[in-house]
Amino acid sequence: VIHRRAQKLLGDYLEGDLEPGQRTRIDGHLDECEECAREARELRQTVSMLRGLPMDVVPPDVADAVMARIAAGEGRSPRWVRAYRSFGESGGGWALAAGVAALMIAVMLEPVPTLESGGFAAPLAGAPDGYGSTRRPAAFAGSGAVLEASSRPPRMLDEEVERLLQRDDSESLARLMSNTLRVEWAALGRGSAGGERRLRSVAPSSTGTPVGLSEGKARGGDAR
Amino acid sequence: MVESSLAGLRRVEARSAPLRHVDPDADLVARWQRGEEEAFEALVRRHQLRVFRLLLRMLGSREEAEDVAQEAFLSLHRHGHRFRGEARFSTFVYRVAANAALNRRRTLGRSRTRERQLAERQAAGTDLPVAPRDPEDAAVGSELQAEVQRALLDLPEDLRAATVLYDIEGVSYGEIAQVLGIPEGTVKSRIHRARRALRDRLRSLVGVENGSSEP
Repeated sequence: VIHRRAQKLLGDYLEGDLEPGQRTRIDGHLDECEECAREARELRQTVSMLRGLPMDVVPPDVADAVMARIAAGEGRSPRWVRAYRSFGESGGGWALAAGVAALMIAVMLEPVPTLESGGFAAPLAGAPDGYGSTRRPAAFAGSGAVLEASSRPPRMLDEEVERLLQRDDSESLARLMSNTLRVEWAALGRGSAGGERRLRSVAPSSTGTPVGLSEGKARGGDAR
Repeated sequence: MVESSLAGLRRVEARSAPLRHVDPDADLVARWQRGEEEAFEALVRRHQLRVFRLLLRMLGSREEAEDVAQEAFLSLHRHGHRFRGEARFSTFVYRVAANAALNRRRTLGRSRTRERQLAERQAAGTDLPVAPRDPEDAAVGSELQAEVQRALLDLPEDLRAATVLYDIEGVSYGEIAQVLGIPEGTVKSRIHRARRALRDRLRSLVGVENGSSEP
């Protein structure tokens, strides 16, 4: 038991992070157990080698290069990012993200054959509104209602943008925006009838039956 | 009984957490956030060595480290308004630099051409991993250092970042947790796993060192 415990606590032991009692017990064990003593010795040597790497490397003059690049116009966020940020700081970012997310949800709810074939989780029969999946919020009356109905998708998008901004991952950021626009564009490009049906599909059904689902079935029937 | 703790090896002065409200960069940061570019330049000069060293250990190449250091400071310039003083500015700088390094790895992973070019440069010796410019560094144990650096590069990135920050840069657990955005317990376990992996990788050297460099 003490052997397993010593192995587990070795990291803290080597850092001097153990309480005196524990430390004494491990000390005693190391005096008796060659395996643990060797492990401790080797880890100490490994750390010693790491700390032997030179600290006084001569850095290039990063500052001059950076300041020159800033003077040349780099080091500033793209205009749309700055716009997004200032919009966000004024409290509008949430609404913008909610709007974009509403469109994305609307597209997700677009009745497609995969709904029947299991591409999405099948609706739970017992759920009053037919929407068993958390990906399908219960009711929408338009993009404004999305915030109340489900705050999760807009927050996820917002977090994703924040995460990419934090990493300064402009490539992924551009891809995210491009995908978002592509999805919106594809949705709009499905023809006026489809577009209307899509918009209607996110409206709550007065009977409690999801309109989108019944239309999806109808469409599936057409396809067959 | 061998010395039972690495406490003696610690760079205690670097680890001792300063009082929360005392940030040696606070003045410069405030001036920069008011729009003084000279203050930003002073901050870059103050932190460029530590950032470059971290990136050198994370990436293994001076050229890449220099590139990424520039990108990191440009990124810092872009996102400086986010710094609200919750952590020390140096922690924020490390965070931006570590993210830039991880980001570079991902981008590089996607770009086979760049990777090939880098490998060719390294093979040709024009971009040696950890090529110290100081002649003394070059003279003392450069082979061992190169081996340790190679072992570091073999580590998974998350383990490498933790051990470089702790064992080489002397950053505290708490600060590393802030830099990497993970709990302190995870920091400790990553450091320990990294050391074990390095020990396995460097086992032959550890054996050679036995008895000769016992701390």
